[in-house]
Amino acid sequence: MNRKQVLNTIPALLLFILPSANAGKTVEKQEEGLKQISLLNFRTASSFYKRKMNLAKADSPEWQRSTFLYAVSLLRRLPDREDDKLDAGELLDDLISRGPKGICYAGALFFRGKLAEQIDYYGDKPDFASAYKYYNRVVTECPKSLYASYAAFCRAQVKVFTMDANQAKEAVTQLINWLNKHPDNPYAVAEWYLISDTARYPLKDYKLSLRALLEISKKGIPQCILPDDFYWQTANTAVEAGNNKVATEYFTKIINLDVSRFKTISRDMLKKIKQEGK
Amino acid sequence: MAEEKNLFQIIKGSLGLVILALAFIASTISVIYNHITTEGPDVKAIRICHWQLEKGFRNALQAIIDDYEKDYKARTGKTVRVIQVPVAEKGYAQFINTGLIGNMAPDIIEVGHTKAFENFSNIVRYFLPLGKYVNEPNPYNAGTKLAGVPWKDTFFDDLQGNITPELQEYYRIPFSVFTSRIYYNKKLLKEISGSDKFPTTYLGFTKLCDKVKEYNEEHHTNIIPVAASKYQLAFFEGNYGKAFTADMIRRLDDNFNMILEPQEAYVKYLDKQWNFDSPEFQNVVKSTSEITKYFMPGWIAANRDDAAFAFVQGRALMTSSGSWDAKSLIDQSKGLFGVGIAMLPFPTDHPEYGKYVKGGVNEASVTGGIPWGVNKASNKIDICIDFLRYATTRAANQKFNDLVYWIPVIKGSEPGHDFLKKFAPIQEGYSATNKIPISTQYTIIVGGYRWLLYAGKMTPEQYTAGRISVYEKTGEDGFLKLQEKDYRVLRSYESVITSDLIMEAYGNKQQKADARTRLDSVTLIAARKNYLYYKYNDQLKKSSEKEAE
Repeated sequence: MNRKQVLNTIPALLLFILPSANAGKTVEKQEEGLKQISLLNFRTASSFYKRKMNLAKADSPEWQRSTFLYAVSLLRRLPDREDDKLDAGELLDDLISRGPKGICYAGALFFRGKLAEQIDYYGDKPDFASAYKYYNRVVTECPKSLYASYAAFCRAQVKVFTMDANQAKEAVTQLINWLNKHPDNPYAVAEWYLISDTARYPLKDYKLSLRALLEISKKGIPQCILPDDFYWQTANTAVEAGNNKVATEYFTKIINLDVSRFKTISRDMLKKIKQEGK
Repeated sequence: MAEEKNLFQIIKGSLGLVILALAFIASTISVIYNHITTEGPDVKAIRICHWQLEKGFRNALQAIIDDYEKDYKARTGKTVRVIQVPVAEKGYAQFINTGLIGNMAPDIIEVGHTKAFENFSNIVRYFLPLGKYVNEPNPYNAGTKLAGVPWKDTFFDDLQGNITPELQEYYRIPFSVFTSRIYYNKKLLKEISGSDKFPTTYLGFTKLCDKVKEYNEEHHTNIIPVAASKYQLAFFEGNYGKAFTADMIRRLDDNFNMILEPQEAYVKYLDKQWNFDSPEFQNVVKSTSEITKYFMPGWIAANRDDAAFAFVQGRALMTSSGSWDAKSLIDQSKGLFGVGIAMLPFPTDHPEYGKYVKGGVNEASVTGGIPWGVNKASNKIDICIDFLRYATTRAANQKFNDLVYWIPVIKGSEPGHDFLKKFAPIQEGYSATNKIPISTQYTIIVGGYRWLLYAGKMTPEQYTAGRISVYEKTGEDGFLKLQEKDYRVLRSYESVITSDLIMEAYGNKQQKADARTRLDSVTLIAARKNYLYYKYNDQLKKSSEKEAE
């Protein structure tokens, strides 16, 4: 076989190999988009779901799912571009327009809320009022969906983010009512934190701020917060709230820890409280 | 003759090819040899890559590797090889980046020096999340006091310092702890002060430095009180800065973390809650200037090595550096003088400074160093985890650090050499950080003023006036840019949250469970950062309105 013949066989060999390789990939395609999302590779995921959306029969459950995941991937794909976000908005609106019977209705409402809430590209502005409406629809229209609890939290957040005292008050009231009904929802600790922070600023209600922190303490300090950070915040909030008993209790907790960067300063604070008490 | 000439010319003409052929043959032999000795049907091999080229480190790591290989063979009857891949610091980033992208990176990688470890989406893509493993007990601790304890809780800081916040996940396993101290020449100390004891007070410290000057005059010597460079300035200034401003930061800190964030500081500045004239800031400058008087001439142009060189040659009474330099400073001084290690004295005894400095600075937040990550693409992840577990038993970690003269990270282990006990993290004292630099211009311009100040070409008053001017001129722009930067970080968190929400809805059982666990933490951290973003914006708006009135 001369050189020319060898070269001529290459395309034939490639044709023989490639279809089988592609066939193998088709089987894995379903997982590939999700795998890319789990790797935060929204660009590849968006290409995957766009292809899938175009191949699926319009309005079919498969089409709705692919459209939803394509829109979400567009929303998060980098670099952030205005046209991507506008496309994502249109696709989500389309899914929402199909009503609660659509299989991605709750998710579409939720991410439509995110799109309204966040600054997605240069020149974009947050639209908290629209975001609130979308989140509220998730909570009220799809209370059993996976997104309901988080939407309830986001709904309160967008009111707080306005930093308007009246809206912040409404958000806190709404959250407390929600927590009374759903005390063990997965976002309960984050919700109590939001109440505590909002009560301090802009509301300057230090007693409420302390109450929220004590609720977290009852639930258990989350793993992502260092215990001494939590104790330090609680003790100082108690000082602000004029509750020396709680302040003393929490400064003492810090002193009793094996290691804490707040130990010495907590001893100083305890001395100060004692002196002021005399 | 002509034939000889021809042969010479032929060789000369094809010298390049000959070298190339020899290099090719040598590489082929090397690859085959490595393959036969490390990879085979009965041999599993992993590669561990780092930039610590110093012999002490490589030998210490090799000792642990040798022990592990023997232990593995004894336990399983199988052969495992752990191959060190030391790469020079300069080429480390390129080596790791290209390796990760090309799927050829080593199995275990020392974390640092490359963007691959900074960007959270790269971390997710290329590194193995270790949460699952660190929450399980380290099987090598069976039969010890740490038996049954989750692996993460066997580290001195419960591995808190090695969490990647955006992902709320562990990606690194550290081997050692580092702190910084003052190193002094014992012989000179005795000769100059007449005592073996290094001063523990600020006034005692400055008195000792003055004595060096007196000693030089009396003995016609040229002993330097403090061998220093810019690096040593940061040690003194940084520590004094923390000590002087601790109580002020406690009063100003709105977020209860004892850190005055740049935006937080700026809105408080606009509200006139602090200023650069405040005695805390003035005294940091004064006290540090008092110390820099004793630094070696030309210290501003010197580098770390110049300072270390002056010290080990016996030309300086003291210097400061991290525990990573302890072994080399002690070894190089051997035969000339003994090296003492002391803590930095804080000016609690000073009539003026003492009003603001109530104690030293604690090191309770110190985190584990020499962190290792596991390459997600490795096909021997089980061996990687097994090796890291073996290396972080109390005994193995103690052995490694004893050999390299560093401080171990595992609970219950002790610094193996007496001098290292002086480097144990200080638990008492204050911990406060002020992040005043509000803009790039501030960092650059005031950074320049700082050198003029410590070089004696600018008075403290001029320095303060300069700081105020740049801070006020560039503050608002800097504030907005920092907010923009923070928002970009927030978007990173949002990407993680989105990914987890999708995994919770559509992932497999394991993905759903992992997403649920991570969502609890990431949503909380993101929400708190989000809140701060809008709070700072509002505070700036209100402060500006107030000022306009």
